[in-house]
Amino acid sequence: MAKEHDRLTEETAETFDAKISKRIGELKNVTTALRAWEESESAMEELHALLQDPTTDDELRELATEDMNATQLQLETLSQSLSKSLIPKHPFEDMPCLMEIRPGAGGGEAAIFAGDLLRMYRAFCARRGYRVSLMKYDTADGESGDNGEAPLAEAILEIEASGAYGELRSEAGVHRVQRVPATEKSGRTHTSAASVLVLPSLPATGSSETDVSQADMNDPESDYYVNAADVKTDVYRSRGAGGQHVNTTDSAVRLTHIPTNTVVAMQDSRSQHKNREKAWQLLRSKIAQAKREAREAEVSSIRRGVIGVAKMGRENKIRTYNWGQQRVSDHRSGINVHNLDDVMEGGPELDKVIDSVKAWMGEQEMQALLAEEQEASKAPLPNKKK
Amino acid sequence: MPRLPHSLLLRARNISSLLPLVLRGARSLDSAINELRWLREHVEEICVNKPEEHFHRTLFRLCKRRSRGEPLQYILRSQPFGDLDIECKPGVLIPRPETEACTIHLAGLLVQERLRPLTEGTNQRPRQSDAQSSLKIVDLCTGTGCIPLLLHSQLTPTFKSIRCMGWDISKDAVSLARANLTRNELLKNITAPDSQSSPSITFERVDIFSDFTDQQLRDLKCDVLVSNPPYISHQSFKYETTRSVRNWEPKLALVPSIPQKGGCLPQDVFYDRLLHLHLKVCGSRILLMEVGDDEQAIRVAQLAIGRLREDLDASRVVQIELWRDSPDSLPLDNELQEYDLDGYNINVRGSGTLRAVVLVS
Repeated sequence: MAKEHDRLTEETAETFDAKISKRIGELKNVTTALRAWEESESAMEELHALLQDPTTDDELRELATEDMNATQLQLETLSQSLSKSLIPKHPFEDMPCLMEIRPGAGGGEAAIFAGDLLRMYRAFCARRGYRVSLMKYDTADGESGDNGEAPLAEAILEIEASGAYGELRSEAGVHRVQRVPATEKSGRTHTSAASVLVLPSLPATGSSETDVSQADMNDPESDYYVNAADVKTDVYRSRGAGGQHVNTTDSAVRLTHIPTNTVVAMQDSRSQHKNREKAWQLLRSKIAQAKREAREAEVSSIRRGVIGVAKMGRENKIRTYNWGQQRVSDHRSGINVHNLDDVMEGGPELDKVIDSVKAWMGEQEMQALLAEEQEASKAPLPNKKK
Repeated sequence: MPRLPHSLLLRARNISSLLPLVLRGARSLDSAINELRWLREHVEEICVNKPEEHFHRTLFRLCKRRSRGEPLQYILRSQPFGDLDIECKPGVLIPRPETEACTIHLAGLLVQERLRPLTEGTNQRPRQSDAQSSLKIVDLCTGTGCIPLLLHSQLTPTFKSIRCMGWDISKDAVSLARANLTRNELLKNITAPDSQSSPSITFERVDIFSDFTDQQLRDLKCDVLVSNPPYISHQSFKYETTRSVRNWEPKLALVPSIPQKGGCLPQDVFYDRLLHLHLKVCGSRILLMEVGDDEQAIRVAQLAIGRLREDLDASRVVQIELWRDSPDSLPLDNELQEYDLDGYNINVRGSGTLRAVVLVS
């Protein structure tokens, strides 16, 4: 692999090719990890040789032993990072993302919790320095809270930092809350839930920051391609003549992707034009995600067997926030943290949880790869790769 | 105007105590909820660093205004138009979403044509070479100035030099249009010209039915002529406009009050004048006229055909098109995509009510 990297670097020196340079980028992580590992490994060998050598004096021997311990530690972390870099990168990893939060079962309390989650992720992104905007905020009918706002029905955050998808994709799933709700009079603990969906966000027009170019969106093979003829647009149409006869403020736009029956609606902006742009962006993201998931479902059954648990569908409960015990537990990595307030403020405790899930997801991926590899080596393939 | 049912007002009351007020202006619960949110955001913006009580009082006052049917755009003093933010004031017509759709579609066509000149018709008239990619656009009855401002901002990346001119008979409209130019230059929606060069967008107060001065005749020479003139008849002003339009927007911008001449209906007089200017004065190759409904679109198209027939020396081939409310959308099954009027074949774009008559040569 290191050789391939070198060869490609050489090639780009002569001819610059976007594809090759992309591949270099992908290989770079692996090769740097590999080189670092090889270096420590050879350092280790030298130290071994030094220790074995009877001519070495005591002082030097002591130093070498010390050094060896340090290198041993280094080697462990390096091999970890090496295995991490070997896991194939998620194709949407580098993209900014959209995060959709909806209350689940649990009525008004679920809506309040969904609002809490929204605040949590906004605070988290603010702390990380990600630029966030509220793309959609829909409220439902019903009793308003203290601030006079109707309860949350659906919110979409747009996180415009590249790599945000990779950071936050582990957050998709059902978040469960156990607490005495503000709406509860007799002090009983309720369990309700809110669901979080994380989608890769595609720029409206190809920008140099991301890998997705305008060409990708116009290429029918690409994940980001949506055929305009498949999309039905509904906008407000006044009864009667319209035009100068009315001065409506209704700017809602609804798009329906007919083949997949995906519906997105946008009405936040006073500008129909902006709502339409946002709706298209959301529709593209949803369809790209769906296509990707469909492809993942096609990979071999062995892999699916292992990754089945790991692939957090939106219907799976992934985390519980327990107010009574001031505890947050993630059901995938099994981590428990007891500083609930800090988590809800998007503080470093939330980082801890997210990192543990990411590590767990990496392990799952690795196991899936190994399982696949084993299965492949068992079966006698005629054209086994070198 | 039908009375709002009590059940609806009660539902609104349950969501927010201010909502029934907004509902009286907005007429439907969905728009009322959105409008209340926009009002709240607006008041939050103007009440920064003020006591909370002030916030509530201001919001209540604005909701009260809305309940009397005052257009939200006058209360918030603005309306988004494409990427622009257009200031709105009583006395000047509020930009409509249909106008926005037509303008964006026109800009798209001009860009497309510039990038990939249409082969048809090239033998009639040599296309401009790449070196002189300049464009002049004239908008008559410009109102807030929204059309030339949006065209300028959309076309700037493609054309080397664009001159836009907007005329209106109303003094309020012209000063508002100038204010909108400055506003959008400050917002960086429109690139301001450097101090040496002449301004690329200008607004003047002109009555387009008057006799033009020599300077005005020179000014009118352009490539593209656009207009969203008053087009509502007295009758439908009384019965078909909504209360908010009738009571709050300027009748001058809605109903033509020009003494009738020639063979057209009183609500069509502006189109007669526009066709004359397009064919005889401006030398423009595109004319876009917004119209009120399907019948008016057909009448105006027939008017245009009549004019073209008179003009027998016509060395140019003119195509007439009709655009619907959303010219970019695909037509529905029951929408005609072609009209045959007096032996003229007319293409129809998009979906919705017929909204504009376009002449392309």
